[in-house]
Amino acid sequence: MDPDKINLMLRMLPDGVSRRDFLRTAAAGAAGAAGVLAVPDKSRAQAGKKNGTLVYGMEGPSDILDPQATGCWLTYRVTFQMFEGLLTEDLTKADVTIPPLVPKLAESYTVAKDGLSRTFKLRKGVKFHDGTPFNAQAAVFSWERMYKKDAPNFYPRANSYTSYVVEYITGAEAVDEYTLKLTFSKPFAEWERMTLQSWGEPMMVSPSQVKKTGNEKFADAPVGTGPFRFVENVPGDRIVLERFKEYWGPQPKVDKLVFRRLDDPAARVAALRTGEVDFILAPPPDEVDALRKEKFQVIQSNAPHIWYWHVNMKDDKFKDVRVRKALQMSVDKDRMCTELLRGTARPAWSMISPATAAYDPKYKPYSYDPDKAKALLKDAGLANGFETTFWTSTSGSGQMIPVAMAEWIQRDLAKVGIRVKLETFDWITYLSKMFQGLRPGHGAYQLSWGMTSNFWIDIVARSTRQPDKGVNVGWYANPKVDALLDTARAELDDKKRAAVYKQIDRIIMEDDAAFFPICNDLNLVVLSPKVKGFVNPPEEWFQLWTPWVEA
Amino acid sequence: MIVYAGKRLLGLVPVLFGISVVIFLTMKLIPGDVARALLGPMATDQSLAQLQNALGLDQPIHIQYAKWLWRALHGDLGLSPIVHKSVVELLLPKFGNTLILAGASFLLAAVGGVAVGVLAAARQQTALDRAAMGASLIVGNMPPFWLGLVLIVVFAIDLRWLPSLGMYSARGPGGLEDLLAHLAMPAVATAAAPGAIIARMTRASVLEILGQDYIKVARSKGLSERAVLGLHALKVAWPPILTITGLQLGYLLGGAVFTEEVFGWPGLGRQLVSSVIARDVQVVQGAALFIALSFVVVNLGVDLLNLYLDPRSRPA
Amino acid sequence: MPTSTTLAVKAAMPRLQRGPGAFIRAARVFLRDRQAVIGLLIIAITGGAALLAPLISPYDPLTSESVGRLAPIGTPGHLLGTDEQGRDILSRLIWGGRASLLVGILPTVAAGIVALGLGLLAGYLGGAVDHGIMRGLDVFFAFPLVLLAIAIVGVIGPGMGNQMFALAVVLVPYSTRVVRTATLSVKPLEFVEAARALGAGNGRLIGCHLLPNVLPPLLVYTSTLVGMMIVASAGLSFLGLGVQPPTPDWGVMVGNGRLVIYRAAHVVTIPGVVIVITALAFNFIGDGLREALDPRARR
Repeated sequence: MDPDKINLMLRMLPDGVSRRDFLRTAAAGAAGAAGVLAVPDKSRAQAGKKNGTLVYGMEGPSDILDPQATGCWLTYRVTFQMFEGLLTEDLTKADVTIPPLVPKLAESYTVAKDGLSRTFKLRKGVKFHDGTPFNAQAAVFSWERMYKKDAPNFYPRANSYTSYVVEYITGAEAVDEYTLKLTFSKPFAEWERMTLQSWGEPMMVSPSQVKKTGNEKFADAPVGTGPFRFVENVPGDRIVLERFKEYWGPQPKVDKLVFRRLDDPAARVAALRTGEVDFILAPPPDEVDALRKEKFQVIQSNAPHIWYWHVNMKDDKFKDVRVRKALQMSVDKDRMCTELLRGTARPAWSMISPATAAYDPKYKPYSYDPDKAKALLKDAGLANGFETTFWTSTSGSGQMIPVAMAEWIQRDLAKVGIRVKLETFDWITYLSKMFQGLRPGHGAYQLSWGMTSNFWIDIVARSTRQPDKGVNVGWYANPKVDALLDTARAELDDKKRAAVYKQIDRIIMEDDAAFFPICNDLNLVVLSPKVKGFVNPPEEWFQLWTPWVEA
Repeated sequence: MIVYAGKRLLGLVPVLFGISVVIFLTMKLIPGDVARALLGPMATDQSLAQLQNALGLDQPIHIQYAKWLWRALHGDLGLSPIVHKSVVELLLPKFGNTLILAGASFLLAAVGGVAVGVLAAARQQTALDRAAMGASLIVGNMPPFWLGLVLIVVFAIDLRWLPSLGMYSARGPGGLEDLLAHLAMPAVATAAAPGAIIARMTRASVLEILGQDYIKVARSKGLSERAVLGLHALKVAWPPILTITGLQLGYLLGGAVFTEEVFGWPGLGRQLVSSVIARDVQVVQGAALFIALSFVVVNLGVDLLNLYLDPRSRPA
Repeated sequence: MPTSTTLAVKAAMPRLQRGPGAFIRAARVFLRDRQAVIGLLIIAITGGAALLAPLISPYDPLTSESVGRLAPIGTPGHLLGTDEQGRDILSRLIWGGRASLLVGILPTVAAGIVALGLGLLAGYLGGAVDHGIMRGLDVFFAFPLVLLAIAIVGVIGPGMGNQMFALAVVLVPYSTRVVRTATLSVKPLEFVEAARALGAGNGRLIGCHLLPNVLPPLLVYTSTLVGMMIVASAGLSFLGLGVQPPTPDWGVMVGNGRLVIYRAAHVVTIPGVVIVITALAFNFIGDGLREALDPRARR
């Protein structure tokens, strides 16, 4: 990589903050403290008008607001309102199993017969929030930022996150002002659906804004084409967006969106009850019944979510498939979902997420059978059980109540003789530690993930995606699976592709028992009775331009 | 006196220097990966190495320290890769928020504690005295995080009188009334234990003075109890009471971390805890510096004030 | 910080009497103090319960009970109810005493031992050694105690051992200061001068003359500290920096209960009450010790 590009990227880092910045910030801090005693200013007063603002009590931190250079369900809930890509999932429909794939900034597109190029006819009359026009040149700029290593606006961090999507892109060409052609080195059937996922969001960014701020600072002043524009981001506290009046599509129903960070589940519920926030996700499971009685709207959806464990295929205990199979049968998932999670999740037995083409809710390769598990362990020479270490996080995107769940599982496993030492970390630390791969002596690391594209299993199970080339942290490697993943990637027929992915799932679960799925979160959203028009789609994020708040 | 103050201030310099070294070194001990945090989990080895080189992470440690110190003296505390903001920009407002909470709590603890202590001393051995001291004993041993949760249960959940979270309402127009409503419970939870200790020590101090001979003389002269208390006793009692109150500051700040956590108060303590847990090295270094500096300065201020008020405690 | 630095030292100024008579006299004064005896009893009960946990705990502290989660106080068979994982609260309190008491007492005692050495050294040798030690410790005084402990645990990682280590490290400066002050007040006294004139070497002077007179103030200070450390260590556990799940610990119990505070506040309130009572008991004992070692001191 070009050292100049690195230097460009590093302009913001430790050397960059000057004394002037310090003094300016100090003055701002002092002014802020003085402002405590001041008369409320106009912008705050506007936020008080109830039907103008929708407040979401978010259950964790959003990452940076540069959609291409970040990944996380929580972040996407913010950036989805500000940015748009060529295509999108239609999240205004709740009564479907998979969100429909519909055009957005591209009105239509064609895929070449050999699968090696896609041509998009772009929408006319679209403006970025800064007033500059969206066209094929802007699209090329946005794509090159992610894939083209020798482009002046190339951003290594964006490339790192969007790699699944841009891996095979060889060219981005503006055929004319409103036609974009992307060329690929390999056919990639799930490419469209993959561009709509949250890990590295290949959405269109304003070239003039990127040129003005530089790649790294774009996240502090993001500019897209979506129905909401950026107002402010107070890290760890709140993000505020407002309506974009020149939006090309239908205007959103609210003026302002506030994403208020509320990590603690009890605090979230408290804020909902006092009316400080309009809706929340991930309520404490014990509160759901009470909230229903208090007339809050509780909406669930079959989001593509799996709460599961990566199992360490290199561990000297877990490398024996009998031990891994014993694991699959040792946890009473039904009881956990009923008693601990109070029905906010369903037991999961497969590594295919709901809301995908290949999902089969009836597929159940194992069941809760501690006796059989003990017998298997005995076969494997572990009649007296063994010790191991599991890791999880204390909170995080989609993690539900990870420590309580892990403790529950720890207890069930102890009953069959698997004595688990549990270690927990905060979310951000956990991710960076976990992605380095399962350590020797450690049995499993937990994660929550899933996508509406079946390609997800390629991301976590392909043997070439082991750390640090990917997130297959359990070191799973099965050449049969790799070959089938290649077949699936190139198979352009939807039905045939789904069948291949089902086959892959069977090998992973029944032959190898390489992953340990526990449950599918039903993604409960709890809304104040005043909120109307909210749709909870079968996806891990949602659009906020249809809801409004009654006065 | 001025000479003494000057000497003390000068003595601060090596202490602050030592603090900076300790902070810098301990954070270096943490196995964390700044470069990886910046580039994401899919980064290649090559880009990681280049970034580490550019960040100066492969230079000898005393050079890294010197650079860090130099920048810090110019008001640049670096960048947080996790929050993606300059450390100073992140911490200054939080520092202000903690000042508000700590200030209010300290006021509450000092005024409340002294008042209760003086009252109890004045009404020594009565039911009021015994009740006050008994309550102080119990309150002084309450963990602030637990007291905070109990207050939440009573005032936010059961009675629904007060908000339980944050500094301002997420939706509201802000302003002083909103702030005070949000400040009420955290300030009480933070002030409780130090205030109880202040009450007990104040009572002891006042009683000690009231037992002195010259007080007996004043009484025998026919002065009312109130005059005795006010004119003579309290005037003399100020210095030890001030010392006692000042000593509680560290205790109070420690408690503030927990109440910030429980009430979601966006302050420095809470930020420190989450940054420590998240291995956000730059932020921890910055926050530790902020805390150490203010703590040392305030302590010095209390010492000097005490010196000013009570010549007897000056060193020979 | 421990307010009573000056008071503790003043209160336990060196007893110039030595020998078994002094000890018995002190013990008698202590036992006459009703509060101190109550404190001792409470610690005996909690400590005893913790030690005898396998025998007296009604249930296993790790098993989820059939009566289900969040059972209220007074549920038949579960006097104090069950927690957010369905475990019997009383059993977890009893077993939790092991971690909570240990983490409160051990670091304080360990710090006291280290402080004894450092403080005697600094006070006796004076000069550069004294200066060096005290300047070095000054760095610690620049931080509020709990914050420093949190930072240390943050660096070395969570866990009971690390929690104890961090607390011990953080306490050493405070206890050292007390020992040093006491040493400095005994050093110039006549009986020390006399012993030196008679040819006693440094070792004998420190060991036989200074040490016995420095121990009482240290003892009083340490016992006051233990109560505070019970609360402080509970705080670290509450933040998740102490024992890891599923080991019971009073601070952890409060932390875990936060999630269910609406449904079942008793999961949070009960362990807190136990913490308060235990810290209070150590407070009483500390006060009693101060009384016993210097009757002139007031409560």
